[in-house]
Amino acid sequence: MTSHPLVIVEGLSKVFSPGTKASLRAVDNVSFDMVRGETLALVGESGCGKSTTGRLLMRLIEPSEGRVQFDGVDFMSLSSKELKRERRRLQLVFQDPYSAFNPRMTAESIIAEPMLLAGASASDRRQRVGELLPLVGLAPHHASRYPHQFSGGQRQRIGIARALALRPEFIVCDEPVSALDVSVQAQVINLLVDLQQKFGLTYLFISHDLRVVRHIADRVAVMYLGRIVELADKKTLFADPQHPYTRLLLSAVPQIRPTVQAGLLRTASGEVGTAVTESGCRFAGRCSHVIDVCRSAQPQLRPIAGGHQVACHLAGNVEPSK
Amino acid sequence: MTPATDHELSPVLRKQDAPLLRVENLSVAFHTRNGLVRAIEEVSFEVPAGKVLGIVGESGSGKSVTALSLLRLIPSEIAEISSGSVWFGGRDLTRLSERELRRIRGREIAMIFQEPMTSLNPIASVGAQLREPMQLHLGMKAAEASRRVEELLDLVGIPQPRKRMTQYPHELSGGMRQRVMIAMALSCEPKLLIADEPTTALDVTTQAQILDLLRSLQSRLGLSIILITHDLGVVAQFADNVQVMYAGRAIEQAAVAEIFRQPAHPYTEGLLKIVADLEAECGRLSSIEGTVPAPHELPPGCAFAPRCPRSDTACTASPPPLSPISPGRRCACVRPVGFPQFRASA
Repeated sequence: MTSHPLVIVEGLSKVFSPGTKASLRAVDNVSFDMVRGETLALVGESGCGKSTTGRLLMRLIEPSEGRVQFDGVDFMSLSSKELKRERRRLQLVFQDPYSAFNPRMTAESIIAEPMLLAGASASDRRQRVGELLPLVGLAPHHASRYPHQFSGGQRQRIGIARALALRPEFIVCDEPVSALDVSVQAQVINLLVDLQQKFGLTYLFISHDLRVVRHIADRVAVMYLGRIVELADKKTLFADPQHPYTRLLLSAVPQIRPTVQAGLLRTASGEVGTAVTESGCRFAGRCSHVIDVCRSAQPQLRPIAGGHQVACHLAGNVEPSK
Repeated sequence: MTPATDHELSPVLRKQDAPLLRVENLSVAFHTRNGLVRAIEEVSFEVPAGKVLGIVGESGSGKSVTALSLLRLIPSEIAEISSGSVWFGGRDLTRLSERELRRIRGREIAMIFQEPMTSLNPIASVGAQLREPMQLHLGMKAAEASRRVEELLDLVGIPQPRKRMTQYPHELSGGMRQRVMIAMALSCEPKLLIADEPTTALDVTTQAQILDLLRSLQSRLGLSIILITHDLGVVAQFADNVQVMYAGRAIEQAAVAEIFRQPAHPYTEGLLKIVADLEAECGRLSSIEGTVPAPHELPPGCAFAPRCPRSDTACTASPPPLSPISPGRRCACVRPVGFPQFRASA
């Protein structure tokens, strides 16, 4: 791994319906770097902005503010034609491939479509599909089948094959296993890990499932209402979470080993979006550690130890509450 | 009531130890273009009073069909109960008339579902929806029911109940909507609550709050609960007993602590390994290869045999019956994991 980042995201923000009453800052000043070959997980609950961040990064949605640099190329300055060409190096795998596929297309034409758009010849496309099917664990005879003839796990394999068709370097995996049963989840996670090792892929892994994230990620960024509240390598984040929201999130995961479960931390009340203060920390309304400054000043993401960043005024001073 | 010690109980009172609900050999088949397709087959289980039974399985395992069939909630044009009984309060629910059953649904046995938004009426206020079952089942007047609604909303942890009563479902968050559903389910003080994936659509922190709420209500009200879920973690945290289902059959039944200590069915073992691997951050996940067979493509023997690492010729003859393997435990496997002394006489 080189230390030269493949992806640099700086101050990325998205305001939907700006200037209206319904104006919503879905992503707010998000920054992170990613090096080639790593998996950064974006975790958080519904509405935290994790999926929007993934789409902003690929400029599938136009950011309101901020900058994305991919392998030295400033994505924001590209014309739409240039963007289309550059974007082949980045692909997306969706949560529910069933709704991401045209039901009238065969698996082969679904997988080949990105190549068709990129101008590949019919014989090249056919050959590449022939390579891709076994790579994702599908058989040659699957090529002529339609989406409804596949199981959920097989459909996700098709989605992954399509994402790989143009030999990308970077894949945004947006909840790729959330719709799958546990036994099938494990198969798809193993496949994603194998492909990453084989092709040196870099993953932005968007998920609400901390168990899956804990398994697959190198580093984890926790988002809450549009902002990254904590970012650290996986070991640190799970062993020594600093932000009260991260602690709440980790404590809420039902574990099968009864010994490690301390029950839901009582550090917070309410649900996501409860009593959001405009000026201060967005978690202040739910946080049991809240002090005056939390309501008046928004905490910035700041390093507290090598690579461990936290956006909390009390970071480093919060006693782990039981 | 003063608690009586065991030897003081008369035979009549001891009868109360009988399970609240007993399901015997329940089979349900769906009408399809290609004839009847079995969705669940010979499912038997008991729910003791005041206990939580977790029914766990993946998509297509038959866990929801089981739950819906207890109250005959699948229309007879779509599916039929082809055999079996559901004993509740001395009566077989499969034999009751629609009219008799309506007196039990919502009153003695209540149900909550995965997506509260689709179960609530979008054009009726929370208060009106909560009053309805009490007016219907308990013959309450509107004013009395309203007072009770306020208490119920308070019971399920909804702040400002009076204000919430006038609101509509779309004005509430997902967690609040599920709390309203729970309040509605509890309004007629049922003995049994069937919760079908009650937290699956919720965020993880909201899920934890709802499970906390259900747990505290369960112990406070002495409620029995059947919890349908795909999440073994939820079962571990919440249930007393567990039934694992696969391809329409109950394949393992045990106390929760037992099953997590030593799963007996290879399928249960496989699922637990995956979850344990995830929690242990190990390199490669163990996985169960293949997929759940479709109901019309079931193999003649054990439905799990094609995916099972332990399967041999004995597994392909006929489906192994759910048999006792140790006190309080049953497993449908010819060669259960960790019970080498046991061989099913299938």
